[in-house]
Amino acid sequence: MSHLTPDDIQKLAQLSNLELTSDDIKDLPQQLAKSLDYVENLKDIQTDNVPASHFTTSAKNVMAEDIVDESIMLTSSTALKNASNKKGSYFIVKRIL
Amino acid sequence: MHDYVPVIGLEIHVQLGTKSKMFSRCSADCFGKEPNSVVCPVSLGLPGALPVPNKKAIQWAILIGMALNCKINTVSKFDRKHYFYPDLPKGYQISQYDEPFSYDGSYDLLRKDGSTKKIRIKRVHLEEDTGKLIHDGNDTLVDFNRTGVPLVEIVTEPDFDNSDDVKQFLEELQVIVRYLKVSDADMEKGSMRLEPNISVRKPGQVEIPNYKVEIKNINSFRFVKAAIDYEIKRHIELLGNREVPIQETRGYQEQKGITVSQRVKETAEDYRYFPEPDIPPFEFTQDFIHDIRKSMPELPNKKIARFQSMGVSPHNAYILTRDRSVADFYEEAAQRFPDQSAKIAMLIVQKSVPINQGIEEFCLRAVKILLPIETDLIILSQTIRDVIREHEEPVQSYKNGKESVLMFLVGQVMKAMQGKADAKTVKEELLKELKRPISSTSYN
Amino acid sequence: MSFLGRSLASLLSEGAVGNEVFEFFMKRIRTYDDKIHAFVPGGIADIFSAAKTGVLCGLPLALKDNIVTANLPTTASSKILEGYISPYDATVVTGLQTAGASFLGKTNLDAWAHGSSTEASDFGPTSNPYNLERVPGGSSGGSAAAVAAGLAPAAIGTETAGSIRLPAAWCGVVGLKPTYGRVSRYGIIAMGSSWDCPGPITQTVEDAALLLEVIAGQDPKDATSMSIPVEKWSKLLKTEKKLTIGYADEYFKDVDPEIMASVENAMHALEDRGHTLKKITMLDPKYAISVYMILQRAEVSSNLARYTGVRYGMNRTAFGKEAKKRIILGAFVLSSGYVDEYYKKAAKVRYLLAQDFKKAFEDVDVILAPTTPVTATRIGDADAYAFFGEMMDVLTEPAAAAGIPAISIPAGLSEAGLPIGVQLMGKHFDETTVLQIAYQLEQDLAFDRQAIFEKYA
Repeated sequence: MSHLTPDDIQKLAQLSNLELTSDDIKDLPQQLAKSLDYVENLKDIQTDNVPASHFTTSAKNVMAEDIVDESIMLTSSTALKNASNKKGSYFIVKRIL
Repeated sequence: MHDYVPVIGLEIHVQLGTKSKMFSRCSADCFGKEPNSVVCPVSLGLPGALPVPNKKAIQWAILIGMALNCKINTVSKFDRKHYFYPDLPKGYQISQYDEPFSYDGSYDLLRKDGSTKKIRIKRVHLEEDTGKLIHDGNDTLVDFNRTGVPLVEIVTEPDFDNSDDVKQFLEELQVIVRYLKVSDADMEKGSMRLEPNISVRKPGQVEIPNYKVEIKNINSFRFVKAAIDYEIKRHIELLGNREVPIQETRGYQEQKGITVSQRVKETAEDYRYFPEPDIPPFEFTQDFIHDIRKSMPELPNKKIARFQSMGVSPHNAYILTRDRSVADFYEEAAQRFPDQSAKIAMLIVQKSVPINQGIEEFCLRAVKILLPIETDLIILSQTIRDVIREHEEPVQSYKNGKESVLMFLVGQVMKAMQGKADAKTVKEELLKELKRPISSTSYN
Repeated sequence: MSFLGRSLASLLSEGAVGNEVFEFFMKRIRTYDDKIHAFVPGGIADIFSAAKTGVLCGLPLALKDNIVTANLPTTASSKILEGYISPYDATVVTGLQTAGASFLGKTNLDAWAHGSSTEASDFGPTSNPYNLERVPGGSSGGSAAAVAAGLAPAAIGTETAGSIRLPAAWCGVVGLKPTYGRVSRYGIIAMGSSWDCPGPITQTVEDAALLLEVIAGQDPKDATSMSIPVEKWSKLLKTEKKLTIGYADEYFKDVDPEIMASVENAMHALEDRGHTLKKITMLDPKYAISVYMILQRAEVSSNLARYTGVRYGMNRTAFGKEAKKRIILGAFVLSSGYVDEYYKKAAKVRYLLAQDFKKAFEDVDVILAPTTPVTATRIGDADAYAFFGEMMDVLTEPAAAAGIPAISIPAGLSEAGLPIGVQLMGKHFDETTVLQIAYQLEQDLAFDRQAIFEKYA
């Protein structure tokens, strides 16, 4: 049974690129513990020789021909339309060191 | 310092030259284009966008695996690899984790000294490229044109122990990829990228060292050796001081010829791989795999062996096969001159006759230079005497100072020799005979 | 002229004029939506616009706001996407436009579709038209409420596990979750990539069939969509076939007695029609809660990774509490050291859930069950639960896990006047049978869907 400590939560937040408030870090372990406790019920079910179901579709080998579809392409002004920070035709992020 | 033996594994990325991107039918032709103009909803990771894989990219990725003698996974899939970086729009890269298209291959490196080194190929898989970041003062600018271009990742086992082998392997891999016509594999343009993983161990030590350093930013063949050698030296110095090199990623700086620390990974990156739910899995049919294999051209090493069996020297065979179009040209020319394969090879390698003027022009010029395998001098001198005897007047003309008659006489000898003589030799021998005083001409 | 309570099919057969119907419902939205909040702020259309041709003849629909549209903002009811204008339309939108539909606007949902009550919307909850202090259910609560209150004659919602069927049940309307892969997900803001299904929320089963005809079909832009032929379902509703209808005690556990009474009515009605009722044993749906909780959170944590505020929207500090919770838990179940115990285990049990249905359908043609264990909860009740959504969706999660089609239709009202829904689950791609039996039940149960309009006359 895994319970998450505030430290675990902090690490997961980092992995998830989330900034949590100190309240979040305080409350989340307990909230998530309830979910984690519940899913323990899966241990009731024997899955030793059971394959994992990773795909809900029964489609297979879906591949598209290598042909350009002009109709989906966007101009740079459209691409940048929804961005709050831009410079010329570029998106801007905070400087990566 | 020969206390340590380098342990080098390579991670090579090859950008495929498909028309459309890996997971959308957006154009993949992004080199030199206005930023963020070669994009689509999928490239930008817009809400609601979904990936659809490019068949040609998959076929080419498998072809590369086959060229490296890999086993092919007929059951395969794509996986999501999660990490955050501004050039990765979705916050994950669609790549392959535990079921790559190709795995467990090998490549035999034939060194110039004749020794061979077997390089094990761990895997060859397919993924999507990221965007590009440009630093501009306090800002980092992002261009997503390159996002989603198909990328083949080739990973070797850490079988290399010196930088010369690495450079040779890389050069030969570039030739192979160009033979397959799947990429221009140009390091300067970024369509072929190298990231060596380097560590050193004591001679005789069998276990892989407990650390490794990844080197990025090697942008040209010129720097491969320098970067690796610098790094090896750095490790040996550290270990000599009882320090273990930090496991990290370092960037090569060409001007200074050094590597500098880029990102120290305190905790190993947890990519949280899981199968890409938006792309159904693959169960390739035998036909699908067979068709890919059928499309494989004769690879460089096989071509070298075949050229050598035609009489070409190992050195010339190697040079001729660096470019498939040159090798093909050579073969066509060699066909026109049976029994002259070695000489034709020499003409091309030494650039005595240019090959950029077309095959006809090449043959015309080659003919003039080519030596027949044997100019039988005994038959030649007999033939020359016969021709002189049968052409008293022209000979007399020549001896009286009409130089131009010489070429006529050469032509007569060539005709009589039925192509089994070299023009230069004929001219020399004919002159010799013509200059001989008459009285010493003897007839048998 | 009043178009209130008229199904799309009846409007079409009467030759109703598209823009007149549009204006009629637009007026109703302006009059009543400030009470119900079915539509997102800034999400109501300005003008009528429809293709000149197409079977839907300009008739108006509402779209859940996690379906991207080029002419209206798409927010997924999250502050992160406030004001976001997609440069492209979702495939279902293009399909509906080509079929001649017009759009009234975008409806409210739990932010990012994370929830079963529409309370988690960053723009305020939607109210249940049957009782404004109650929730409409979710996550497609806005769409269901709009149809129930007569603010739209029909709507499109999406279901990950229950998000169409549960609000349909709680609002007394019809909600169809098609087979996974039946309808393109291109342009649906992804929540659970291996779960999400766009589907119709309508006044009648016939309308659900009609809209399914329009939106179903393989899409080259969605690799998981299947090329199964699209049937003319609205023409196939009547059948004389006698079928075997399965039911399982596992789906009756802890279900409100009033809801069970409706289920029993439904069972009697089907028997009277000559169908055979057969009791079957199925895996306890509680396992589907765990499967869904783990796998969906994993996919959510991945699908929300793209929202960084760089290319669009706000940065990640604008995520609401529920979204953050799900992202953290999702990252956890995928993290190294835990992925086998959680993610892989859940994926294996998911396989067993699908096999369970496969086995059941060897003996029965469709399965009847209550849609939800309780009727609509009060606004604010959800906070008392650690995972409200998963608990309320216990009876809808198994079908979603297996990817099979399922429909909820209104079966009656509780003593407190709240709608009760019953559901039918069918074989993969057998929407035909599901719709046929639903059509029969709809007639037999004769739910009075017009009575509610007195409140919004």
